[in-house]
Amino acid sequence: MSKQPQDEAAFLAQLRATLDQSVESLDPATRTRLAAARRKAVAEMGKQRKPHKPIMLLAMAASVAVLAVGVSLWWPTATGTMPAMDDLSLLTAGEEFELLEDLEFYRWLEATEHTT
Amino acid sequence: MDQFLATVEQRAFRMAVIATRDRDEALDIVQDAMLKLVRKYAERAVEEWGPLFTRIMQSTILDWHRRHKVRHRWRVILGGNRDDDDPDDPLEQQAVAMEPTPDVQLQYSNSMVVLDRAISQLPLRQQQTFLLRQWEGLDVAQTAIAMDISEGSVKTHYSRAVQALRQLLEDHW
Repeated sequence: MSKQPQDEAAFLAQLRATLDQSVESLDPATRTRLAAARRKAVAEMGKQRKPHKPIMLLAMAASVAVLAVGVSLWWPTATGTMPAMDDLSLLTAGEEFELLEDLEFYRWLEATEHTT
Repeated sequence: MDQFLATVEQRAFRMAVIATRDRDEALDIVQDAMLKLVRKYAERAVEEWGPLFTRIMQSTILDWHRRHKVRHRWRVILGGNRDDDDPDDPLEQQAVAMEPTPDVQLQYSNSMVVLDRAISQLPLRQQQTFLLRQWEGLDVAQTAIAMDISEGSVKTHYSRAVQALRQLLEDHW
């Protein structure tokens, strides 16, 4: 250990070996504490996984509920299309009237061109 | 997961001890990293756990250093001593000299204490780069991912780390 490293590779190998040695010489108390930390983390994984099933069930139930509401909203509109069409015709009534007026104008223009 | 963590926990602990110079803090860091891996990535493929754990460890150590630095700044401010030499980015500057605690010194042989002391004198980025490249055996690209820095930065930090360690250890080894 006191010998000067001959080159960088040997120097680095010496460092690695010392670091490895430091892990091997960890005291039992530290190893025990690390094992306890690991057990705690692994136990957390069990806790993490358990809620997944209820969450999945809730998500599925919510999807079914949304689908049911969607279908129930769609059916009445299918049977009662007339009010909706009425609303649409009311909204577009003005445009149709203007279009008819334009048509009358173009017919008059065409007629006058023919006469001249 | 238990088996995987058992294979990495001791090295992770040693890295954290080198970074913090405190066994309790190091244990907390390892435990935090384990919990983060389990909570966020337990469902990932087993082959991914290694790189993920390495990255989590490095970021947890980095977070610890930042918190440590903030606490130090507040102590300086509240103590009335403005530390004008405080670098903006402590991670890029010389690390705060922290002597190993007596229990750490007792635990390891003299060469380990000397090496620990030398590595702890490096800025954190150099410490991390050196340990990941030399001890964990990661290549430049893997180290860059683990540390979330560019490959160029990895090369620079690593080169400086090796150079500094040679200078620091030449009288001892």
